[in-house]
Amino acid sequence: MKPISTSQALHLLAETFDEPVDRLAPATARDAIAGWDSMGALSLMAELDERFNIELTAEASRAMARVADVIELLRRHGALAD
Amino acid sequence: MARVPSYPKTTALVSRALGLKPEALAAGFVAATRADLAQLVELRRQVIGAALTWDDPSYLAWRYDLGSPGRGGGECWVVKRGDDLLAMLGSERIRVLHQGRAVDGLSVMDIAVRPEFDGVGLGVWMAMHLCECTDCVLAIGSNENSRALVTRVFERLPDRRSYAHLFEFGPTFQRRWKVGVLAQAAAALAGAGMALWRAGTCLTRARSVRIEPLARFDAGIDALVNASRGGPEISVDRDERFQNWRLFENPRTAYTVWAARDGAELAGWIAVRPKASEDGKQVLVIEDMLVRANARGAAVLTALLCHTFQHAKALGCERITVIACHPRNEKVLRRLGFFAHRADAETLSVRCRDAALTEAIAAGVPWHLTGANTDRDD
Repeated sequence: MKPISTSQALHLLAETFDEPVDRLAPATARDAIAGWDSMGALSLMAELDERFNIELTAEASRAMARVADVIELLRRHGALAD
Repeated sequence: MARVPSYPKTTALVSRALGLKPEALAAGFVAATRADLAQLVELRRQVIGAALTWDDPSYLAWRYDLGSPGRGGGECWVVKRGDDLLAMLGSERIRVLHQGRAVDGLSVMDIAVRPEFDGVGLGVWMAMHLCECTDCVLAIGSNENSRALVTRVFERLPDRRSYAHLFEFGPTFQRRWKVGVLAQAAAALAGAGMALWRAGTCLTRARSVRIEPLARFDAGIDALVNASRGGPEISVDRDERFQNWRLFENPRTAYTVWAARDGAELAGWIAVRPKASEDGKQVLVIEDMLVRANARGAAVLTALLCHTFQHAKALGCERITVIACHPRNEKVLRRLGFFAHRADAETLSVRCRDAALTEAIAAGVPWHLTGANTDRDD
């Protein structure tokens, strides 16, 4: 697993949720991201699993309310470089 | 757009998030029975909340044949962990017909997942799992929550078309133009013009076609259903049992059905129901219609629609609406003053394993569906 920067994490989320990257910031709420629906949540689980070997439980997935929560999760698992 | 995880990958992710082994997740996907009804109602109350006004036990039991499997067309699939019901997926058994071939399949009706299991892809997995076990799965219609699913797990086909025939143009013009006096004048003019057009068209309709109320379908509909298939279109089969279940046994909605007879022969039918629109206006909804696939079919449909106009006028309806997915019938609708308008919910998506049907779908062969192929009984 190669750690990524916060900027790269935002690009990853933009691609996962099919959202322009300039509309994503750590403070962006889940509700404000149209693509962060059930399909988006599943895609995020797959990305986290395949790229960083992070296993997401139902509780952890549901508890993520904004982009910062995903970034924090990456940080906790040593997947964030900055 | 991010790729959709494969079925095996989704199975692994979802089962892990639920604390299950993949085999246990698949084994827990079973057809609901009457014993699950209380948990199903509770699940829908949790998901839909205060907006839940019609998912009562009698409706769900009817919609999904709980307690009388095989009676109608519905089935409800649930995911269970032990005795705990985690999610449901409603479907209807369908037989897709094309060029004399029949492919058994399912039409997905609705998906509900217990809020505490939101965000792990359980709804997506149920749809994928059903597609893995079925030759052809249709997803007719969608809402904001399911649009990504029907677009990305299924193959999106051209949307069905939503049509309206207006008796009163005032509310529509007021919404669009905002200038009161101008809108009123234009609405009066348009209303008079449409009334003239209606009268003229209906005056010349085929007088030999007799319209009469229908209280029940019988086996005599088979000949009409067979004759309704023309050209290369893809249709969903219907028979006496399905039609009676769908239009006459629904505990929530009463449909009025008229048969058109050409001599002694059943030449067509139309099913309608009145409904209050969001803005409080009375609307007549055409839920189902069927005529033969020949030139006489257009004349019969015209006669049925003229009768529908009279009924709508008598009820004081502001408009008649219909969702259509049938180029030949839509031509008749347009000739009778039905206007197509944008409706985001009228999506049509499919996932098919049958090679010949897949080829026809890829070639853009048109579908023949009506409102009776959905679960819009509200």
